[in-house]
Amino acid sequence: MMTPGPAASGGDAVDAAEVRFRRLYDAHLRAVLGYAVRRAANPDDAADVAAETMLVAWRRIDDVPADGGERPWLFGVARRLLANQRRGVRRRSDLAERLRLHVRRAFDAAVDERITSSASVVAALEALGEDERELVLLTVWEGLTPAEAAAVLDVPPSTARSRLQRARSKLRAVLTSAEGAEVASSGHAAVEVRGDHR
Amino acid sequence: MNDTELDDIVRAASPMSDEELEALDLGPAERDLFADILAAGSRPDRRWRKPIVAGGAAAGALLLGATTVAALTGGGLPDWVQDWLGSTDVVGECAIDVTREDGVVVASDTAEDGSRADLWMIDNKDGFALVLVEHELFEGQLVERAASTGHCAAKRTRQPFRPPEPVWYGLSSGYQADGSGVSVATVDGRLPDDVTHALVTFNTGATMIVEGGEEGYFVGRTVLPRTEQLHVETIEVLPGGG
Repeated sequence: MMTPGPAASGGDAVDAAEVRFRRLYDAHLRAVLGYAVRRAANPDDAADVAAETMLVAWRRIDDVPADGGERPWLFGVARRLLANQRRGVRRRSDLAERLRLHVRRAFDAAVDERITSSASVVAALEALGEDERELVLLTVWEGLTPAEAAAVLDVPPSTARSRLQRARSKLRAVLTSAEGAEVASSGHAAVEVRGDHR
Repeated sequence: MNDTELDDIVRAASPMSDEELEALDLGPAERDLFADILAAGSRPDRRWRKPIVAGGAAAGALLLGATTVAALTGGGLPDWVQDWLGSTDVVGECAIDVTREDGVVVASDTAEDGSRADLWMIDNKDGFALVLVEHELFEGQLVERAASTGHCAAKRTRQPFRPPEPVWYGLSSGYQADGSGVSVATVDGRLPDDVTHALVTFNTGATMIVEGGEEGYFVGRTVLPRTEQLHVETIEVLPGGG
């Protein structure tokens, strides 16, 4: 029952894993937190997802791709955790508690005003299919290339590119239509919306 | 509206801008938490596998009742926990092939209301898992209500190192749906060498003493006034408990 495994007996391997994890953590925690904050229902959920994503990365450090594939891999884990979180009850961890303080502070500072001012864009995004919306957000909010976004969603890059193009067309149509409707009902509304978003 | 203009509009709708993200003061304090994990020599997981949610205990308990009786009389790892550990829906990992004989209870605690939490360690060639199984009272009988992993890793056996300070791995809490106005909280974790007891302090000011079991693992379960935002504030060596 207590037989040491490869990780226990191979000190060098453990050290290498630890060094790699620390680099991964320093380089990507902020981005993972951003990914979670931008999608979770509330700051607490975002902190939980970010913390758990990093724990999964530590546990599976051997599976994390190198050479630029780290962030898409982490976003993929975070995405699945978010999906699972919506179905279950939260179990909290020490790291999540700590991250929660930071996230709450940031939310208090900025989020309410932005959410109010961008309601029409949020509504337009919600009109897209789930994968289409995620492709747009991964490329625009998270700054991934279409190929990297494809890795997050586990689809071929060519599929991601065509879906992204389709999503942009839909989004453009919905937003243009919304602007037209607002102009019709108020001579100032459309100007205000455009001013908020540029 | 070209793609660049469209992207600018979408970017402005982000709940958190890149500048705000950069301004977050993440630093050594957060890294230190992982240092504890690394020192413990294991790769932990947090998974909440709760067949029912807090507030719906009765219905879930009914569903689990038959399984529970079999598990308790069999004296081994519950079948449904065994099945769950072998599944791959935990973010596509942690599929460990276990048998009932693989599991041992390393810590257990009974709360004031008679409900109980058992901390199981499963360790074999396929990996290891630390599983919390909670038992609640339903119509006078203890029933398994939920399970979650405190640690879980496939293809890796655990390491015996113990943390330098008391560490809590997870807190699960829920309130009773029977109108009794209480919450039940369960905290699991591990104590350093030569430490037998630790004091857990919650954000409400309530405290709980936990006792280390096999290899320093502990689980503590207690009944508190109903609290929906319960957190662990601190865990420290109990004076005289080291």
